Parts: sequence; C-alpha cells; structure tokens
Amino acid sequence: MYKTSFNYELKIPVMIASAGQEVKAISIEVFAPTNQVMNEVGIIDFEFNKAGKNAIKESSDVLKDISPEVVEKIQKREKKEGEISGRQIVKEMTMYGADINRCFFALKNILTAGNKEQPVCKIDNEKMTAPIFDSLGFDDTKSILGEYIINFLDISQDT
Amino acid sequence: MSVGFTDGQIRINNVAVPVVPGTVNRKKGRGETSVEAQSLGAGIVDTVHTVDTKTMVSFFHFSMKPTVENMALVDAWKLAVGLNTIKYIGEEINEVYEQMSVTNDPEYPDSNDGVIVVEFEGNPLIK
Repeated sequence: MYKTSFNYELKIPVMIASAGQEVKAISIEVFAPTNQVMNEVGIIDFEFNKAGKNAIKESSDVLKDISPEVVEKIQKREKKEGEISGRQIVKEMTMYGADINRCFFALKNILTAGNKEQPVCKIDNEKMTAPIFDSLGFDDTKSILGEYIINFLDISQDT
Repeated sequence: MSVGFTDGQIRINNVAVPVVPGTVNRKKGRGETSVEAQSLGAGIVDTVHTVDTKTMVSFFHFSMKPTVENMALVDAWKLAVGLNTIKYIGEEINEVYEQMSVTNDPEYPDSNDGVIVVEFEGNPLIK
C-alpha cells in the first residue's frame, strides 16, 4: 500500500524553537518523496539496491554448500522473525557494502527540503532545518534512514 | 591571555542566520539596578538597591547583507510578533532568547555596501 507519511518518535529529544519558545521535541513526521528530492532519493535507492544485490550474491554463495532442508529451515525462521526494523536495514546495508555516509547526507537534504508551508519533514509541527537535523542523535538518524527505506523505497514490503 | 568572543552562531526559529561580522550586540534583560542611600542619622547611611523591572527586556541587535534571502528572513521575523526564538551559540556560550519581536522598521538599502539593521527585543534571557 502506498504511504503518504510516517511518524517516528525520537529516542533522544532535541530542543527546537516553536512559536517563540524553546521546547523539547520528540515527534517527527516524514512525508513521501516528491520529485523535489529525486536526486537524494535516487542515491538512497541505489545504495539500498546495491546492498541488496550484494546480499543475494553472498547468500547464494553460502547456500550453495548447504542442504535444501537447512535452507528451508533458515527461510522459515526469517519469516517468523517478522518485520525488519529501520536500524536493522541500515546495519545490513552497511554490512553489504552500501555507502552509508552518502545515504546520511542524502537523508539530511531530503528532510530539510521544502519550505515552512510545505515541509518534507516536520518535527513537532515545525519544519526540519539543518541545525535541528545536526542536533539529532546518531542512533535516531540511523533509524529514520531505515524507516524511510521501509516506508517509501523498499517495494518488498508491499506484499 | 584571553581570546575575545566574536564569532557565535545565530539561529533564529531553527534557521542559521548569516550576519555581518562584528555587528552582534545583545543585552540579557537582567534589568537596571538603582542604588540610593537612606540616612540613619549621625552620618550613618544605608543603601537601597532596587531592580527596575520595567527595564527587564533583552535585546539582540545585528546587521545583515541586503540579499533577497536575508530580506525574506527579516520580513518573516517582523511579522512574527513575539513569536521569534533566538539561539546564540559559541564556545562556552549557549543563550536562548524567547518571545522576541523585531522592534525597528528594518531598512533595505539598494547598495552593495549597505546593511539591514535588525533589532530584536523580548523576554529576559532564560539560559
């Protein structure tokens, strides 16, 4: 199903300016990508697919030497484990050779794009800006990148 | 030896703002204190210290180059009466000025060496 936005709750709240006051913000809303950020979305998509391709290649090399029964067991266990988290996606992308720094820079450009009236990302109803993004915790940034991929780019989640 | 502080970062409403170096001037809004003597007679005096709460207003002044982007920023701040937040950050400095208004009517000079003078006033400093 096509998603128009997703919400994420920060593990480490950040201080932002809102309506003339400094407040602690914890909630982030990210909107689906438009062509305004197509270059940056393309970078993340490319790196995600590159890692996916490497993972398939590596696992097929490993599975070659394993009996079909064991392969079936592994697949069943993976299904049982259920949905993959955002952090897990980023971890696996890093393991399988994605340029994750490039993805973080692209994510920063995506989330800070747009204007006050039409932001790509809102943090407690304020537009995400570069200084706010810089103050986010790294763990949260990894999770947001992963959630962005799961919600907007990873077509395997559609089924 | 001490090094003077001249290069803090200014963030207004979560946006980093470019200013003309050396033009930032700020007052924390602690208020003016008047000190007057009261006499106990025989040449003995005591002093009375009073903070004038009417003067407990912070100010934050700076100048910007008259670019199109800067003019748009100043316009938005001017319209947000009492709704601007200024964060001033540097080594050992992290000041937050809340509920600030642009009190002057900024002029936008059409010259390459002109500057836009912006004067904010608002709540006393909270940090």
